[in-house]
Amino acid sequence: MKLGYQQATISFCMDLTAPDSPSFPVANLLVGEVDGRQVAGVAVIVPDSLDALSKAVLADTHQLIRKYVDEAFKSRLPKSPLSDVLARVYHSLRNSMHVSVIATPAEVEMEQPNQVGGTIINLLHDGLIKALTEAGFAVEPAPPVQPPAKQGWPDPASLELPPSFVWAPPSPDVALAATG
Amino acid sequence: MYPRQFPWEQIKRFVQTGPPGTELIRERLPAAAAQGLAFDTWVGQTDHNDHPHNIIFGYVPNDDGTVPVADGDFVFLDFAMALGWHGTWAREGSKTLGIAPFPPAMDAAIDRAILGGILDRIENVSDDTISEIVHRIPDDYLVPEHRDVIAHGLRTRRGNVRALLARTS
Repeated sequence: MKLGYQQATISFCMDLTAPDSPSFPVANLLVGEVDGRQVAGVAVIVPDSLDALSKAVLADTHQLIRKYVDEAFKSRLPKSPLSDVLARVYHSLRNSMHVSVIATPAEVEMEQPNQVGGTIINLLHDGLIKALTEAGFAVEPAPPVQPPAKQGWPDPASLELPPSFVWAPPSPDVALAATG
Repeated sequence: MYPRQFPWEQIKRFVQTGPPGTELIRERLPAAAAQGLAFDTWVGQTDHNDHPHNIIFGYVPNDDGTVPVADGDFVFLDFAMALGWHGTWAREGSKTLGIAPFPPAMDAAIDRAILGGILDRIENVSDDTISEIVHRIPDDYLVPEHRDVIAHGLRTRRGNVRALLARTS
């Protein structure tokens, strides 16, 4: 069986008033389809070094993203691309949190249906590590050389990847499904 | 614009209670709600209901950590659906006022004393000030007949906001 999916990176801008302000990844989102079923997952990281208000908001990211994704899947035409769902999230996050990268669609083969959840978690984990690495963070344990500290960024040593959150979004509304 | 901003959708769960660091949201809400309700009712803004993005909370994080937030406030965005948009203020339509729709949690938090002061300020905006502000918009973006409708509408409504809002207090 084949999982078709598309991922997005959600980042956090440290200072919206500064054009050169750094942004760093705080979540990886995956939306996909397997055997006619819709799947989604999000992995979130909340850096300890952020201010308390930002951390309080970021702590609820799972629920916020799930709301946007579920709404998008419900209103999605059956044959429309998964990028339509990611576009809904993109347009909903316009301030400190924003969608910084939308990856190209991809597929992965699985032998058993019970591999779906684990496969999504692995993809989210890999996606978040890739985004953090590209942003200059050392995520692997005990790197021999730490990247240079960047003012205002989280301490790389504080980064711990939390468990991912995987769910099955709702199907399109009946009227929309009939148009497909 | 503030260094950090979150939309209503992301902060509305903190307007009654929340973890440390979210206090300023609750401190600023009563005044912001009063200011927003009075102004929106005056200008006929209809797009600040429980909208996820048109109300945001912006703030300056405090890097020295003595307090969670150095400064911040609510910001009201997107006034496209105001000032008689879609012709609703034409032919004296501006005389028909409705209370601006606001999120219920914001309505409930309004500071009535501050609201009275804001209404005083709205009622004391002079005709000249209204005319000067409305005429800042170039003809290419606001044709003269629409400009006149807006200026007339603001003058007409200026003295009627208080009575309308008094019915809800």
